[in-house]
Amino acid sequence: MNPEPYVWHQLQNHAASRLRPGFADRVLRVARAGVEAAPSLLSQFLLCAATAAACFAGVALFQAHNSSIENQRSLAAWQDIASATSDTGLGQ
Amino acid sequence: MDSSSTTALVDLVCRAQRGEEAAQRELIVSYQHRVAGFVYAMTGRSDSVEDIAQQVFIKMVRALDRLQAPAQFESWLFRLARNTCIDHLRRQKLRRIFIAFGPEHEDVPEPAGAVDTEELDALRHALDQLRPQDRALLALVQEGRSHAEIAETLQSSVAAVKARLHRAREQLRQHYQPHHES
Repeated sequence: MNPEPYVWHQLQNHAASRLRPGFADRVLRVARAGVEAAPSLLSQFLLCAATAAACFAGVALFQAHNSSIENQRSLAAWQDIASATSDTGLGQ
Repeated sequence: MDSSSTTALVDLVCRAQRGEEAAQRELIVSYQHRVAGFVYAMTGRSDSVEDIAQQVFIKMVRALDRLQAPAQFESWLFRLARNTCIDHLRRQKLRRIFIAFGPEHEDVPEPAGAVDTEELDALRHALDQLRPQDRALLALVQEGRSHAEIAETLQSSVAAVKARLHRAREQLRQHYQPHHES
């Protein structure tokens, strides 16, 4: 059997009773707040660009710092080799 | 809908499109019960009716200026409602995949006093067995929409709507058992 039309009305009435008073005002308030608070496309693009630039700068700094430490370590190692070589007279 | 009420609706929609808050409020108040009923038929959960209906009307307010034909407002509004409900159901499905709820968390019963009668409970149960698209179709028919209007809302052809409606009614009939429910 198919539901009688009054059952569908019961369904609609039941659903309507779930809406608290002041529903329309709440909707309008949220809709307006969202429009005012929504970031513009330009500001979203700028935020993306700034984030990407900050990430890139972070990676570059980290890389420069690591390279510098590695260079110092290599230089110290070469100095050790050079001094060892000159001590044993192999360099002449 | 007769021609005078259609003209009044078009006038109201045009005023709302120009940003008149009173007109927007009037539109929400005029349609909130129908949209709530539609949402309930689609989701089967009375505790999410207000949230989803609110989302529908927020989308309506924000997108109203993009509505080209104010006379098509009702079809457009119910299309928004249908898409919002389908998004909601899809998100729920995804959440079930990614968050491992135990069986005791699935199919949580409606809160106490949420279901009024055996028939309403049976209708809710029967609708729950149907695909969301078919629930939308049946809910739109109950809204008193014509086949042509439903076809426009669902962006389909009238013939397809008729065929799908026949199938959906058949399935609803199979699942609707008001006197066998506990």
